[in-house]
Amino acid sequence: MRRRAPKDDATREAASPPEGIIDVRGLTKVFRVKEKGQRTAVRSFRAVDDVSLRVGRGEILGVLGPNGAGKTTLIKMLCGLLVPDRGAGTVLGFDVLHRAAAIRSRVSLVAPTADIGTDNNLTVRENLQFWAAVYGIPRREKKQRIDELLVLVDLKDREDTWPMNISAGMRQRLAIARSLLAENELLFLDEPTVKLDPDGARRIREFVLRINREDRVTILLTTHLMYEAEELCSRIIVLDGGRIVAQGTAQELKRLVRGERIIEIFASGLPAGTASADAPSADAPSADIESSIRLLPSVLEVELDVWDGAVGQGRLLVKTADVDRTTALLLPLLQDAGARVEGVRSGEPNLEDVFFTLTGRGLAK
Amino acid sequence: MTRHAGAAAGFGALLRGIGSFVWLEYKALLYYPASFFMTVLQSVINMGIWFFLSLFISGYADRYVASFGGSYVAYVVLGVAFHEVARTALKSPFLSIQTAFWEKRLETYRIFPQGFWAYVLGRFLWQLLFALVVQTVVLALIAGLAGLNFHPEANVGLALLTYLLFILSAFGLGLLGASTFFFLEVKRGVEPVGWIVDYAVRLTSGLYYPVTIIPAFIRPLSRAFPHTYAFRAMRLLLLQGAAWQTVAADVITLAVYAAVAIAIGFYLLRWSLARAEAGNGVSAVV
Repeated sequence: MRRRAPKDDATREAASPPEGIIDVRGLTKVFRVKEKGQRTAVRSFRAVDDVSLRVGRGEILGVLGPNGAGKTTLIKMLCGLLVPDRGAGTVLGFDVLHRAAAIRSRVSLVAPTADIGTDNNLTVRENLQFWAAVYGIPRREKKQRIDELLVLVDLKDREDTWPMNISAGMRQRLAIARSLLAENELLFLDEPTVKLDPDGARRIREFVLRINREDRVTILLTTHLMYEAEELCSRIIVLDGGRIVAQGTAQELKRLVRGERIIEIFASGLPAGTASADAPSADAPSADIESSIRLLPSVLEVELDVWDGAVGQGRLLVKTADVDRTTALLLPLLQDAGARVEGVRSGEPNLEDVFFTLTGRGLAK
Repeated sequence: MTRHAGAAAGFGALLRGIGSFVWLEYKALLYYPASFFMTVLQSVINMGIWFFLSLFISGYADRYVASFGGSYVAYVVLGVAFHEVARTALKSPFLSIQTAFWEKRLETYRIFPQGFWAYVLGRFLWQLLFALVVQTVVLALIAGLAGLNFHPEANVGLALLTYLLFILSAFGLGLLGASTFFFLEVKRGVEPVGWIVDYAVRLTSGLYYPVTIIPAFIRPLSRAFPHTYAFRAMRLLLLQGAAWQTVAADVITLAVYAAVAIAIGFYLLRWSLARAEAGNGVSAVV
């Protein structure tokens, strides 16, 4: 578990777990995309940049990062759907550069959208029957395995229902059941709880833990939800801008914050027209208040996120070396600026605090 | 459940995968049965137009097609029916890939062994069977109502072999055209190879009129397409009752065409997939 140091490869190496099922070094992927409105101009975009990692057998590795951090691209390279431009290593013992087909045929992938691969003309059971045949599961084993999986994903009582008539969470469990049909030992879950309600997401997390413990399935999952990564993963790598900025257990990552703490303030009446990270503007009304907070003693970073401009509803994240002192100065400053403070949090750091400490941005960005 | 057996691979698994996709299409047909009847009706109307048009000019046109045996009506009806099936084979690979791409399923199919090929071949097989059934119904309808003057000693077996080679040739061209999906900006547009073949054969291959009536400088173009050999051989076999020797050159040409087109088509499609995966991926717009 180490912080990023751009020119030092060793800092991006994970501790080496035994029986490395994934062992890759320096994976890099550059996408070339056409500029909007241009016929020939091509822009290069480094989606994954010099990523090295090892995953041990039976481990759950979390890849945490905001949208656009390179999580999906990394997964696609590891499961053989994209060939890295640079780097080396193996997945299940197969070379990631030259044996993509061999890797593909031995891993399972659940894409972020549950509906992908689910056919609405087939019932829940028929969907599994279809994929069982596609996976080449022998007829004599097919029924038993589908029955087992329907129980495992808690869809037995919905087996004759059309997918369009079950919840998004159930469809996600169906997608995971489909991916488990082949009984591959390595499962990639790309944002498995995205778009699910809290209860649906909780059930997916329980299910992920169960298949990892009971079936010894090695899992690499991506998420931008800090609590999900904390709850599920034995180790976490934090991606930002295609690079690993930190890795380790949740506890190890939290220690990165050290004496620094994050004060999280929810308030209304905050100045709207926040300058975004992509297009900072000194003229934005929020720029004044952010500048004022930055000038407070002990303050290290400030991020203001106003999500309802009409009433100035939003959140202020302040990284400080002295929570008590900063809070004592910050609250009057906000009141003077016309803000109504609705909640303050400054407890133990969580992974979002870690991400904010490392990048100066929240995970939601 | 701790077996970690993995997915099956090999030719048997591919065949089971193809069968699964055929079953999937069949289930979709059961879900929307009206579309089957509307497709049959559409084909009957389309063929009806050609039937009445050819009947209208039959008195004038019969002499130009006398060398094939039968009437101009039989000449056109057979040509259109065969062409529709071959057209399905030509278009199927690209349209299947295009459908999976926009439904975001390409990577889902690509991730398991033989998945992509099981999908492309399964959909092709289903669409081919569907087109064959529809065109057979339409031909039977016209033959029953108006008569098509099939030769009583027609070599049906050889005609079927010719038909099969024709379909395989068109499918090979279809695979070749489908490979353009991953390196040209045709994701939502028209596939250029299939489009060129489809329109060029209408003009040059003797679909609606004998090749001999088109200008001499265009005629060499007709030799580039399997349709020319297939239309001639099948009409001679079915309408004139020609012997094997008469159509041998056409049938052998078709066999070579099918083998070469399928080999090149598979190679190019595999290559374009690998190229896409080395670039932005199969699910990315160019």
